[in-house]
Amino acid sequence: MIDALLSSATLSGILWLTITVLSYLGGLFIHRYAGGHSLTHPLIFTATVVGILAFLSNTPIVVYQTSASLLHWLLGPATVALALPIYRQWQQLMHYGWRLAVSITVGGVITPVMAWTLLWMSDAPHAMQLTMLAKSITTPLAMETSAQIGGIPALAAVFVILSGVAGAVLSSITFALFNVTSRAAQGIALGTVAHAIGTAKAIHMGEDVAAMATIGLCINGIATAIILPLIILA
Amino acid sequence: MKRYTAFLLRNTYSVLCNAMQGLKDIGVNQAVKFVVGTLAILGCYYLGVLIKHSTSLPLPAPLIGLLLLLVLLFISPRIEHAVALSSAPLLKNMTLFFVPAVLGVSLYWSDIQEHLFSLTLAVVGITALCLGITAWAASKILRNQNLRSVKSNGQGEQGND
Repeated sequence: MIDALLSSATLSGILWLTITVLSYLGGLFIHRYAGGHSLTHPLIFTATVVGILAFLSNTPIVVYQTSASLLHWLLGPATVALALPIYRQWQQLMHYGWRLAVSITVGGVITPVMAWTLLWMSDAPHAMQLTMLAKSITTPLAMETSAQIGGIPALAAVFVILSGVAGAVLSSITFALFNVTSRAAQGIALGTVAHAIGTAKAIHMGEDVAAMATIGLCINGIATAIILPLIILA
Repeated sequence: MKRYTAFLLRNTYSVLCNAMQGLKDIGVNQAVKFVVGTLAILGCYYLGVLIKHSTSLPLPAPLIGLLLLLVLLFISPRIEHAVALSSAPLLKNMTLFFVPAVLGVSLYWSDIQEHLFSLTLAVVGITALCLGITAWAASKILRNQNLRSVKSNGQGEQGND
């Protein structure tokens, strides 16, 4: 936190933090004005505006990331804070039991296997293939796991976040296509396949969906982070 | 005149007392709870970091912190409201915290460009497909459980739009 605070307490840090927060508020406003439609996800507007401003002001993205590192740091405590929804939905978790575990396992296994198979078939670099294996778990876990198995942590963040955005944006259409109306099932899929961004989307859909997504996010995250290095390094 | 002054003073005093009581009931109490909740979250986070660095536990630090906070909530449910107060802004605005990492896309553009098609298909297509398959499988697996409605005990602090 000290590092993040120091690098964000500079003039450029305060400037970029202000720009990011203002863009985010603008993104939130647009998202609410559009009735919460997936394509107006606040992240898309915020990242686009900040990216354009960084490009126009000739600011390298690394400089921006250092300036706004306080925001990235907050992802850690925010992950810890997810304990609250889990605690509140504990009854539901106990009630679903093995059914919930099996549902999460389906998503936790097919997603990395299918993504890896696709990259393997298209002869992508080995490190990229390994990085793709961690694409459906939350960013901090994915970066550490990919580092353990010989992937690229920075690229893992990109894959994970883009997968999350794709999952969150396409979720409504996909659920409609697959004719899934169960809020619990939608939450499990969002958390398991689209990790924290899917969970952020689920949080906007309601606390019951968010709790399921959080359980999916956490169980798949822990399971993948433990099992993946064992399989790859064995 | 003297009577009016005394009346005014007494009234002012009682209004001030009420205001102080109100501040104690709402403002100060909430502020203390917010601080307690923040300390609980940060404490669990840093304990997670400490455990991660001092043991060879294969779990990432924030996840250890999450499990610690969960244990703490089960041990003393009284802190639930405090944790709810301070975690609400974090959970509500999680999207904001992804912005710096998302902009990192541009750093690896040349690597990505070479395999753009398969990467896009893996990131967008596979994600959407697996999201659908998982949700479909979950709805089949949980089919018999849907009728049971579990009472929601949330106050909507995770955002409701």
